[in-house]
Amino acid sequence: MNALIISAVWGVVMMFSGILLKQRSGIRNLAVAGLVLLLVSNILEMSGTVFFKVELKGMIVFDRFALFFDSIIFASALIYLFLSARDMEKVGVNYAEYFALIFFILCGITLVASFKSLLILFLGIEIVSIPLYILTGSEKKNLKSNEASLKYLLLGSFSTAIMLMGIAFVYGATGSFMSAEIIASPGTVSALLIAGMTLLLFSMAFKASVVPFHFWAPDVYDGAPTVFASFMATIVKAASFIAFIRLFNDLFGDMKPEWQLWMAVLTAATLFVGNITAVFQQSVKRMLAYSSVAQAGFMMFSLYAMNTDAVEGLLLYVAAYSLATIGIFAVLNKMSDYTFDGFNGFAKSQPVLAASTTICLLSLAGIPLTAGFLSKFYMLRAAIDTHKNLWLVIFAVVMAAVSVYYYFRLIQAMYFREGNAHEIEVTPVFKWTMVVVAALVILLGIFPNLLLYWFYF
Amino acid sequence: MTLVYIILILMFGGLISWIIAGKNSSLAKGIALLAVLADLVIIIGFWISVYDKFDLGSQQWLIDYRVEWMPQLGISFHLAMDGLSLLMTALALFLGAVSLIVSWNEISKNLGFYLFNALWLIAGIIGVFLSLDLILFYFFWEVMLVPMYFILAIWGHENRRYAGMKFFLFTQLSGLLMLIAIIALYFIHGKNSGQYTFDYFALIGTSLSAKTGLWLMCGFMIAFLVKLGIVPFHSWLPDAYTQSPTGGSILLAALMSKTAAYGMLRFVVPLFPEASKTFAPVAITLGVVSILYGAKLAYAQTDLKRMIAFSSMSHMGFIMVGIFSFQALSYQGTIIEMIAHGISITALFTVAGVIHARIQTRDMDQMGRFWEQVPKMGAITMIFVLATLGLPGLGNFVAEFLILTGAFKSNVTLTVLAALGLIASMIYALVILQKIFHGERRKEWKLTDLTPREVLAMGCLIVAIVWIGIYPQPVIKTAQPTVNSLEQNSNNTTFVNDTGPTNKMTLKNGDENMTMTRETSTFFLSLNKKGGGK
Repeated sequence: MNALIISAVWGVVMMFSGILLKQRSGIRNLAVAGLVLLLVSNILEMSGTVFFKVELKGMIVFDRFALFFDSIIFASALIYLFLSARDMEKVGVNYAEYFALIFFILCGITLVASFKSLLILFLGIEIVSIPLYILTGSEKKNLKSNEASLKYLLLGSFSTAIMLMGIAFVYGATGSFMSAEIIASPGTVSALLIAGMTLLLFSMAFKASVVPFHFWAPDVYDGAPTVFASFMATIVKAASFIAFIRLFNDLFGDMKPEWQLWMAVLTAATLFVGNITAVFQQSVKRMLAYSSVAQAGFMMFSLYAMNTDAVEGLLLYVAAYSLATIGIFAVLNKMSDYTFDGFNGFAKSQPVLAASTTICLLSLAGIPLTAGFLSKFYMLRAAIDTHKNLWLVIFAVVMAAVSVYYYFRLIQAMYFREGNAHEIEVTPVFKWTMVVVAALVILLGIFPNLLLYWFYF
Repeated sequence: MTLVYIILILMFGGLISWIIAGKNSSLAKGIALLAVLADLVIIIGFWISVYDKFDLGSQQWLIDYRVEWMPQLGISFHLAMDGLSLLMTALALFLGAVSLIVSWNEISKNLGFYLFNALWLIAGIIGVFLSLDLILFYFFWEVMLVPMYFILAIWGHENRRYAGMKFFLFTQLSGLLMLIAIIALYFIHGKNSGQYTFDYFALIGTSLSAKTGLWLMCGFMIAFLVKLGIVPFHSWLPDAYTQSPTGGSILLAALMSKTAAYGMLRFVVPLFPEASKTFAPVAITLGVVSILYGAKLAYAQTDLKRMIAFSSMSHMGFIMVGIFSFQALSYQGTIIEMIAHGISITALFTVAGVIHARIQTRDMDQMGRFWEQVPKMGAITMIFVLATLGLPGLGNFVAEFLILTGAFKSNVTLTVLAALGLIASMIYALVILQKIFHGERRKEWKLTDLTPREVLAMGCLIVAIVWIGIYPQPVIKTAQPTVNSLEQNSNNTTFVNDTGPTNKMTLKNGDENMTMTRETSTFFLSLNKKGGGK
């Protein structure tokens, strides 16, 4: 509850700060302060201190899972601001508004992480999506940015409509929006309910960029300003997965036999298309876009398996994936040339940044001693524990090996190729934050309990 | 804790030499070498202190160190050492030190990072030899890859990036398949016993149905076969071996391939006794094919390093034959082969590196009549060429003799074919000597003979290979408890496929084998007494 209200209020504060504060560093500091406040208040709520007591009629429940997830998201967003807040200046003139929109998105994320009613889910998804449409098109003079924004808006609205249709069907079948009542509704599973569930599955798959609903993702990530692409590919994607898993765990958990095979097929397709297409990209930004699709395939394992391991693993996966991807995007954003060749010789000019980026890439590729390995390990474990569809696990492993190829291409460019990666200017804060990110990736890979402990305490 | 220190000394040594290499490169090299030598002293001191304990019938495990790591997943930090892992750790440290010495001046670009990778690679290899938790084992197994990839792709020869990527993809994919097998084994064991753990001692008794066992074993085997470079999983091997810098080739061929052989002895045979029996004919056939095919390919090469790479592949075939014969003699032979091959391949790659450093080519068609200019190099090369072709008195002979004697009990036809490999190896090994050091002079080269540093390194290797060749008793004695338990393990399992009349045959074979084992043991034990041992 703390985070929900503070993030909404802070969004408004940020909006006005553009008028009141003349200095951009002031706006930036205000945003960082707001995010720290969010994180602290959220952690306080985990230990039982709730600032605002509001009667919600059970439509939103801030349980441990939701709060824990919110904390991961706020921490990732904080790192994101440290790394990328300066780069938002390059995008356009409305500096304060960007922060305002980000806070509104965070507000939406707290909603989707803790919904107990389908209406709240819809509300949350929309609160997340609409600011994203604006952020995607925020580079007004750039045609690609405009195209991406329009594409995103059209396809996004389409999927939202499908979601509403699905909610209507579920309501028709059970007579309620509340998840508790939908589960409790007596009788056999009706065709109407299954139709509703399938529509919800499709629309959530769209939001999480799961194949074959992924076509928007690479185009939008590529067209959007890089700072915001980073935000969309990590924090927002994580949020859609949380909504996805909540929906299918809470509401449709009993109908697992009906959808498990669907999930398996979607998982395999996502892994295949994401990884294979990423191999052929020439631009690092597009490679990261497809890599985010490929990683979504691994996150789909948690939906497919849907057991305690899976839920725990998803939290770890979200943290590992967000950290690494935010780090790589932040470095990418400093470059003038987004192709692989643009990174040639980067290790010579920026040894610290190159080493941190390498650790992030190793984590995404799932090499042991990084958080990425352990989160993949959790997912595979969860999937093997279902004792069926072993082909899916073997397929995933083959695809993970494919992913090594394109992640290592970037490492090769940085370390093994001679070249003159352009001199880039970085602040000490940026450099140190990258080191912290790399350290966190390794720390989580060796002691995942540091993170998961908070889930259980 | 000793085991943890051994790994930590290497890791910290690597970090420190990385940091100070920018300021003082010879100090960095000194520190790296010192870290490896310090570990070597520790391990040899330990070996001497426990040497009397390796009598027949003594317990297998010398040190057992275990702390909880991720208890909710059943993962523990479990290191342990028995005779086999003691030998392998000592070998890794010895050859690691040699590899640092011989590439002392080879690396100039980015030296600190090279030392860091080399030391972490050795640490990873030792970790593989010591870990008894399957996930920890997998961790170290993969941790080896990244430094090796960097060594190969940064400091390698002309085609290094391609070779590096190929090496990484092959080993990574096969490693992941092993991971699936590990997790599946974990769940099967957990379901049977209610105790979910990755601990080796707990998993070793898991009862598996024949089909499941075979599939799980294939998961492990594919990782080991790829790393061992057995046909048809060898295509990465010649590229990686050839393109590495000398130090990298040594670590790759002499040590990393041994981790695979070790994995088969430590994990495949004890965890899947029945499945490995079923698989044995295939495995031995693959081994024999590797021996002959590797020898044939080695003969056809003109690139010196590529030739040595294929010769290594050929010798790895003997290891396969040795392991899957399930005889005490062949197990002993396998362990000696791992050591002897490690030493001789190190020497050969060193010679290749030394020549390459002087004339900038590996093409044997441009060499010839080197003996006149560099007699020391020629003489030393001759010793190791003779070792490679299996001359009695040098380590490889003992190893291959024991392997073939043991294997003869289990499969006559294939053993005869494998023995042909000895003849083949003679042909390609002598070609090395003939083409480079004798024959006609094809081009005028100005060569300098070995420096004292190189002579020192080669001297150590010569002492080691002669020692193993003449007096292998310490190795045999140290490995005996491990071999005993391996043999017990395979005797305990029933022959699933055997029926009626063949059963008798097996029994008879088993008896003969046991007397044979005893005879040989007494033979070597008597040697021990004559040799003035305790």
